Amino acid sequence: MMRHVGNSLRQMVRTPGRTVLFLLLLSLSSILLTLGEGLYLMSEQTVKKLESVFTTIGTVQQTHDEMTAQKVWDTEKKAYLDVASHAEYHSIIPVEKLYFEGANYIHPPVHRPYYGATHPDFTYRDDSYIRVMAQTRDRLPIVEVTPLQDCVPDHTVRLKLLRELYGRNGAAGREVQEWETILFCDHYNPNPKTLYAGKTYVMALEWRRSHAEWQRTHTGVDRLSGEYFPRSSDTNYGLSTQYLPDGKKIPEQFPMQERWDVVTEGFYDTPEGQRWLELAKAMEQLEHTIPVIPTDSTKLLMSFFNGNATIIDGRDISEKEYQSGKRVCLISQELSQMHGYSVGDTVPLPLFFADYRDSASRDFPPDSLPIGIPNHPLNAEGKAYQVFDDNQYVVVGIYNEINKATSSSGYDMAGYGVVVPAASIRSSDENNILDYGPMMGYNTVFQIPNGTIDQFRKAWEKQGIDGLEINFFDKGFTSLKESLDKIKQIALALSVAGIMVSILILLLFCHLFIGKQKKRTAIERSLGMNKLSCTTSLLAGILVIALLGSAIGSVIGYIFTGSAMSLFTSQAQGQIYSTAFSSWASAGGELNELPFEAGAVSPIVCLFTIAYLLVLSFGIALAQIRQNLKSEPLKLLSMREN
Amino acid sequence: MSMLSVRGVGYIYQSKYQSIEAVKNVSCDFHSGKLYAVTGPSGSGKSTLLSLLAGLDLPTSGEILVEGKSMASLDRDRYRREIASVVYQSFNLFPLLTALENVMYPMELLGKKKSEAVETAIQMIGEVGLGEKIYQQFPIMMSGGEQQRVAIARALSAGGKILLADEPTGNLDSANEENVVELLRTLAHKQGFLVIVITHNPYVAEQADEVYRMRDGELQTDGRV
Ligand SMILES: Nc1ncnc2c1ncn2[C@@H]1O[C@H](COP(=O)(O)OP(=O)(O)OP(=O)(O)O)[C@@H](O)[C@H]1O
Ligand SMILES: [Mg+2]
Repeated sequence: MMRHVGNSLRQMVRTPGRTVLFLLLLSLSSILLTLGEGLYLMSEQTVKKLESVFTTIGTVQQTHDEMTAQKVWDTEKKAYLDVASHAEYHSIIPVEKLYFEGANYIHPPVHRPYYGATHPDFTYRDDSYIRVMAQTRDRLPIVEVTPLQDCVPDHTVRLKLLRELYGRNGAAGREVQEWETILFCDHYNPNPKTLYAGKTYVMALEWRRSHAEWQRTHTGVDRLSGEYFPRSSDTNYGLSTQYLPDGKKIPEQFPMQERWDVVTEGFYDTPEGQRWLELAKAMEQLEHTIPVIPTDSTKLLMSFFNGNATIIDGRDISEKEYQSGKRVCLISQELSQMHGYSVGDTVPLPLFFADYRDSASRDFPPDSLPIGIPNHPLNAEGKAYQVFDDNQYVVVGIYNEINKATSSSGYDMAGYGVVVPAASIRSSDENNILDYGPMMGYNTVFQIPNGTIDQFRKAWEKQGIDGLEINFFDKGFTSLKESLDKIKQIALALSVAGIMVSILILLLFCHLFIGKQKKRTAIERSLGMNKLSCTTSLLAGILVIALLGSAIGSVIGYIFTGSAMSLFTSQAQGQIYSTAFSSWASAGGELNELPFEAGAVSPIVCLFTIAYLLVLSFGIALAQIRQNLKSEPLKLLSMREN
Repeated sequence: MSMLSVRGVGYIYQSKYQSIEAVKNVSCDFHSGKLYAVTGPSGSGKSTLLSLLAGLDLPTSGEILVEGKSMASLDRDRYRREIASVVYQSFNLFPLLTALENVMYPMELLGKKKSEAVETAIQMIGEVGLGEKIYQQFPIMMSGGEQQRVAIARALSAGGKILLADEPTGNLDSANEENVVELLRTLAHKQGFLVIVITHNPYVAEQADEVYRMRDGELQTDGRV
């Protein structure tokens, strides 16, 4: 048997041109096939990998109906000045509008608040903090004052400080001194009311620089210390912005009628008087307040989504914990450092207000001190908010934000922040809504399956709802997927080409090596070689060449696949970098490069190609051989050679 | 018992367009130890009859008996391998094998050891009057006479008891012709082979023990010379 094979191979080798051509063409088709298979598998695996690494989120933002510019009187300039215009919304579009047919959410959008958690333990051990906190008190005091003589405060006047409800002396543990005065001007009021000597006024103040004229004519402390204006001089000013859950504002029971109240005997027993005490209490409470961000997934927080915030100790909150509302939390590195909390510790989170308008990072800026929301910290009854949910949370991870916001985009994590599963807060915040506003990119985020942005957009457009702007972020998934789909198509084309070419080549060469060798078969048969031996001797020749060709070709094809793969990886890196956060970058974020690598293809594809080509060769060759063996040798041998 | 008995054998070449009756109702007997010659004009069916005797196909009609057993019931592969060898009119050498390899081929099919096969092949090539220089030559590099003698050597190397030769001397000079005829006679008379030779050559026919003449596919009776 081996000798037949030897004779058969010998005869192939003795037509080297033909045999080498066969080998080369077969290698070529093997390259095409392996490259096709390899690229197909690679893109398939890469898509899978992308699916697991990437997430697609959308942010919802109500577009404002108009921008209103506000004019404010400036006493110093004796003129109305433009202050920054602000967005006006005629009505608030509810998040339910986004629950429409065709919206396929992994995490549906939720108009999420941030919560304030207050606890006496949340004190600041840092010396610099105490200094800044003193400055805060200095900047936003609540005081009783009396003018030295009757005056209209349309210029800088000196008021005697009688008492601090909230102020720097209190922070330093001192009493107000007999000789203490402050400088005052009802700076933003075109028609200031007269202050009468002998009357005691209570007011919430804010510090500003002294007038230029004052600085010119005074020296020393007086020149430098600046002056105060009443915080309530803002036209929309109220001590409360409490809302109902449906977004309706609750009218204040005791609105401020004037920029200050006159303190008379028993004033602090009246609701108006109580209100000032509550305001001071609320201000003090804010010094022990940290922001709590409830969410359904860490990925829905933009900073985490884009890799700006990362967990540096412990682990992320698991999908299960998010779903079941387990009382676990991620805490910021600052909070961990300030209080010595570490992974596994328990943190009390007594929640006392919910803010549906602003972003925690604006009220509690990262890397700064939580000055909070001092302008409207009371509820509609004029009282400080009471804790509505008081539970202990286990720290599972500590996060750090690499590029802390320098802008006020609102997308960053808050300073001293805590992230908890939204479902863990089971008490209703309906009586503790400190503020409420339209959906914003930083507070309304949803997740959809990767690659479904277009589908979502189309379904959304069908709803015909105006006034909402939806932005999608997928870190370049869509464009990567598109390139991968293209690669897949090319891979399919290569495979099809490889299959066609291999069939043609095998048909041609089996014809040359077998069909055209009918005479040889006839001679073999005439010498008494049986059909089986004839078959094996012819097959062996073809199969040896097929094995050689397909092996060489598949190895080359595999190498090509590898280079195509690394080329794609390097291009994809660029793609992620350039497109991923373009819109995010404009929102003030920093770009972060993601580690990305194309899926690896196992060398088993080579075996597939080889097996395919061997089976194909076997089939085609066998068909040809059967054709040769069909007729008896007599007729073939009796024909003259041409 | 005759080695080969031909009983009413006919053979028809069937093609799409026509059928040619090359052999018609032939009956005769061939005995071991004898040299037979078959003559006849071109196209009379000599080669066809020889091929049937070689078991390259079964007759369309009638039957051929090998030592009394019908050819149809035999393993014809084995018959060709072990009993009957043929020297073809057109030699039918493997063009891509050397002279030596061609001659060795039947022995390889019989499973002989390679060294033994080489030895026998060299011997056979010598017997047909060819030298060493032919061993590594491919058929295309040989003259017609050389090819013919390699074909004879190949047929001899198989060592079967029947040798069928179709114009084995057609391309030979008279010296070689004599040599080959002598070889065939020796095979038949000394070694007990059944040798059947087709020939147009009167000298070759003269050397045969019995001569058959064919015409239009029929075997003429009383062909003895
Ligand atoms: N393969 C074939 N197909 C069809 N007809 C054939 C075939 N081989 C031979 N014939 C026909 O069969 C008849 C007998 O041919 P054959 O070769 O047996 O004659 P021959 O006596 O050997 O002639 P020659 O002396 O020329 O060799 C011829 O008429 C020929 O045309
Ligand atoms: Mg003939």
